Amino acid sequence: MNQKNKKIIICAIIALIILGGIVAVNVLGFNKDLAFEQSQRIDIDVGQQIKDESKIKEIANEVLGMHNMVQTVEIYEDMVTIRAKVISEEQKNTIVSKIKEIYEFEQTAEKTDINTVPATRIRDMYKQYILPFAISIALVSIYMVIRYYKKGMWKVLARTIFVPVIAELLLLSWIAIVRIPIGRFTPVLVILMYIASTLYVINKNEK
Amino acid sequence: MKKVKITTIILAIILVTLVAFAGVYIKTQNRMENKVKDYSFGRELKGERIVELKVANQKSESAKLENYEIVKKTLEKRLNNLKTPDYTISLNKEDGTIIVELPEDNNTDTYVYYLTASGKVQVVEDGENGVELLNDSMVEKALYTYTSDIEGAYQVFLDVYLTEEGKAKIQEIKNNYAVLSDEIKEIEAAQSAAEKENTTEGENTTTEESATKETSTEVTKKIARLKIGETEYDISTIEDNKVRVIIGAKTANTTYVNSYISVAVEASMLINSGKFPIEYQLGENRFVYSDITNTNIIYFAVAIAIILVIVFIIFVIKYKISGLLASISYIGFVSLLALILRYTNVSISIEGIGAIILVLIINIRINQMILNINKEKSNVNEAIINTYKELFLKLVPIIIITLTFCFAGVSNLISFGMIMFWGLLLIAVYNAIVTKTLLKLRENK
Repeated sequence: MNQKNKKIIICAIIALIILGGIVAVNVLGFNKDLAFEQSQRIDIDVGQQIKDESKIKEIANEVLGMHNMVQTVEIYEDMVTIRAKVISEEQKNTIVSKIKEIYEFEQTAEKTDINTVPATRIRDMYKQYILPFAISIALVSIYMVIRYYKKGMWKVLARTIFVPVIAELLLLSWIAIVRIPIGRFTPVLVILMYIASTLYVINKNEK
Repeated sequence: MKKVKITTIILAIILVTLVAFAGVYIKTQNRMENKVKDYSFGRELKGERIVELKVANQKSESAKLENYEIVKKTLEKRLNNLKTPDYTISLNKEDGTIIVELPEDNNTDTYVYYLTASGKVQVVEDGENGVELLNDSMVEKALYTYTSDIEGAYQVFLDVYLTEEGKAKIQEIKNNYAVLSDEIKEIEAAQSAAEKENTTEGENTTTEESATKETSTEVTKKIARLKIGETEYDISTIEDNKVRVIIGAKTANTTYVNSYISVAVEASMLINSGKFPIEYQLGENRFVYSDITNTNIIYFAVAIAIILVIVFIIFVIKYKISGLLASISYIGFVSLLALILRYTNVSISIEGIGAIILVLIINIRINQMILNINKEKSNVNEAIINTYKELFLKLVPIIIITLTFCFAGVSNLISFGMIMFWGLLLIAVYNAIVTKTLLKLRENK
């Protein structure tokens, strides 16, 4: 297979993934991390410092499934908040009684409320990242155009802008297709992809 | 002699590694205390303040989605004006509950205060159940200003600008009520004088005289006062749509002047950030630890360490003694980076961990390039110079991205930028000194 055919195949795969991503986002939306999606939580005041959070996590995993968050609250760490997409009355009762087997505390299942935690919009999560990324793309583009002007200004400029943009679209499409939760780990993936694509552009320009 | 030098450098690296990863324990007040500074972690790794704001009256007519959205926007503007780093805000569209997640630091309580502080501007009739004459909806914006006289005394003002409706309304109020500070003072002085007269004349007052007084009181205007939040302020002047509000007393004392300016700045920020069409009250306000525990971080660090050990084994197999020395030097690099991150107060976020991984990869690449060229040409100096020329020239765009992120104003990006900055600087300096010296000593053997 010659170089040209390889390029065509790679471009076709990238286009397919991006298309798949667009369809996935439009049909299903992004899969949000539990910390950012609408969920329910219960707070249990254990009345003493929670020394081994992992035991409570085990209980939460057993009752609610793996998709849950267990966090200790306040500096004394004497309260625990358990969060999951949905918590039923029965699950709440089981969790409270199981924790009571480990810790002695007053709070009863009846006095434990199930609270709804609203979802955070994706644009609210990431809008502050847009300006720094735009500025850095602009500055990197200026540098690239000056450094590689012999390669053709427009060609270098187009490559510097489009390669990272396509790379990010590819990443986000992949995240949407394979249902990786969007959340705390997404920005670092986006940054690393940005750096990798910029290094790719440099290597291309160096050739 | 060369062996001694190599041994000394290796011992120094071991020492730095011990300090970085085991710490320096000194007995303080009958207990052993690690004197090496702790890492500073970002919001997702340390924990965060969660503030819940609830609609005060769910049955109120204003309790609708449109108003919840306005309040959310107002809160966002307030947090942006306060330059709150790295916050997230979410709205429960059904009951209007707003949850704000804030990083925990010395300013968190201030942010929480401003989330609920009222910037409501009103002009109300004086008295216990004073009628509201002008409300928040007629206010456009507010700016603070101050004047000074030849004696160096300052007077701080808050200029409240009204809408067209507000402009008409304030003129109407001005005609029917005493609103200006001077007018109110005159009326209050007259009233207190009349009260004094009343008490001295006492029972001698005739019915005729009291009737005359009643008539004069009727002629006197009623008083109206301006309120921002729950505090009443005097009005200096009303010009067109601008109401000049007096903040504090005229003074030459800079401490007082600064405190009055702070009050004016706070009031203008609250007014300009928008309105609260529905009343909210503070619900929960608590610190929640991250669900990413120290154990998770330790597991991650162990995974990175295992990968590095594999890289070192490959170095040793491929480059023999030079590979071993480069690996030892690399351990020193990781230890120094750990100490730098502690003492430069860089906040380590998830993005920051990404930067650490990137720095480690770049340092592996630079070591590999040095060892490769050295193997081919048996000249450490040339290997270092060629590697630096090739790699750092290619890294210029990454340095640009790093510096941009350092000044991004977003704590997670700052974390990434700062760690990359210190990492790249350390790569450049450390390899030119330690790795180069170790390899040179081996070369001259």
